[in-house]
Amino acid sequence: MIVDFGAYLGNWPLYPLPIRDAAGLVGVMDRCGIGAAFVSLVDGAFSLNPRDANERLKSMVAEHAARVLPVGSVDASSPCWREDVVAGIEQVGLAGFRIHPTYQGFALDSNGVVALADTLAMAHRPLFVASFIDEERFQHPAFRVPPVSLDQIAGLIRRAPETTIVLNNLTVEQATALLDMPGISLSNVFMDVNAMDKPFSGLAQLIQHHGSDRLVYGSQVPFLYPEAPLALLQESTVPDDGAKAILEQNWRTSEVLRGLVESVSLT
Amino acid sequence: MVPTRCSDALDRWRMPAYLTPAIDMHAHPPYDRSQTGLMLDAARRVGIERLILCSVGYSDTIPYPPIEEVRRGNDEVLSLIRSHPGFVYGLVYVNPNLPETRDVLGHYLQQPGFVGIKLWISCRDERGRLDPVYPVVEFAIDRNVPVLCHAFYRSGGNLPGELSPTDLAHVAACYPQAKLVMAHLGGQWIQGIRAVKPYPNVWTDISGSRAYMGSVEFAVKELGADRVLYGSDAFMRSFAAMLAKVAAAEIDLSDKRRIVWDNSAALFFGEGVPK
Repeated sequence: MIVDFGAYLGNWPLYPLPIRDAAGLVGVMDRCGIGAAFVSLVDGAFSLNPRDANERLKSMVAEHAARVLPVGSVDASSPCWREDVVAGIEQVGLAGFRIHPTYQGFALDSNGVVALADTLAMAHRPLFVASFIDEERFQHPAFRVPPVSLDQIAGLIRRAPETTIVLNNLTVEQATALLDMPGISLSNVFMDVNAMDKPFSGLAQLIQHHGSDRLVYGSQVPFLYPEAPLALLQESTVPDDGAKAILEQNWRTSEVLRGLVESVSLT
Repeated sequence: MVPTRCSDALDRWRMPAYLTPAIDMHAHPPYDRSQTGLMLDAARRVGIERLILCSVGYSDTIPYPPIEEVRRGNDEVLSLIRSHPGFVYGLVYVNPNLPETRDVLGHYLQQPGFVGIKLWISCRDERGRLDPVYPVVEFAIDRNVPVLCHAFYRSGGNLPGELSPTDLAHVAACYPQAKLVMAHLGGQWIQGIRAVKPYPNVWTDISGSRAYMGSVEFAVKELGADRVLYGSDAFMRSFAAMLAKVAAAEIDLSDKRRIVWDNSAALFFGEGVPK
């Protein structure tokens, strides 16, 4: 089963996103053969009350609980983050949390994020980290946000080795640098491939040198066409077994991710 | 139904057959020459039957390349045209600030397989004016070939010699008989498409950038399917991932065929009858 580790719902201030609700999202998932998707609320990244955003997300996806796993928003710099996480898991039933550090204004390797990551590890929930949402070169001139630095990503991974971390939107260059980094264990880290379409054969070379076991499928739908990374994985340079592993198998090696997916898809 | 078996995934979504054959009208030879064969093979496998290459510098992306760099880049494309006849075609790449530009255009456009001109980011003179572009456009009109223009709305400001879609709209208004292609949907695609909408002599390609959902639909809605072209921007991007934009777009099948073949066949090859 293909699982999408990078989907969104919600509102984006610059233009209306082409998918408005969970039914639309599931329609696109059907079109692409995607069995389940971890979905967060994009405006949750900017919400001053993440708990409210998480409850909204839950109500949006309630009718599609067998396909859509709600991923909450949390502000790691807020004094309320811990109670928001507990409420999100125990009352709302969230399948993890996604943070957008550079949009939310905190450092990924800060003590608050490390504590959040440790809390999620104990709760058997993954932490999703979006390197960026929109490309820097196309951002609104009054709202320019850089991607998360690789140093901070590595810092969090080092300080929270027990946490299952899904990195969204790393480039081939960043992913390769992370895989090449000495003294860091990536056994609980997964990276989605949706921003790995450049340069030509970059993903194939990454797989050739490092294998594909740390890679998963993420679409960033509804910002991006979910077919694009599927097509990328069919390009002739990418080995078939690597593509299959990325789409369907690698997430199964994580007890946390497998448990969450099976908890909904087997219902 | 939820697919559950391993093989379901790759069986479920494939590049639709109706996208074949395709013309990729915007690709570049890779700087790593060991990748060239691999790249051409990948293009063929995804269903591209004609691949239009243009250099953006032989050794690197140099904003204002010297004449030697321009010639080496065009020579490389010429060599690929000759070694892959009927598959590889070319656009003549120029730095319009160079005094040799007219000679370069004349020389390469005489060579079979070159079907147009490429302007990249060397388009302004030292005062920031667009003056160097005009003779190139006039040359293109004289030879009846299209000009592919890199044009971008870039957050934080454009590069020194880089055209914006606003600039391209100005050129299009000055030269209504010119055939201009705005590359990359103009960068920020909503603004780029809107900027050139009033000018029927401007087409746009979907190459490069990420696969923004809704971008192809918006281009077709605003410009009409006849003014939208498939390009990949390979080697900087993937042929397949860029083609998937067309596959995924919620537009008529006939419009998809126009985008991947008919429009480029007409514009670059003078083929009025859709294949």
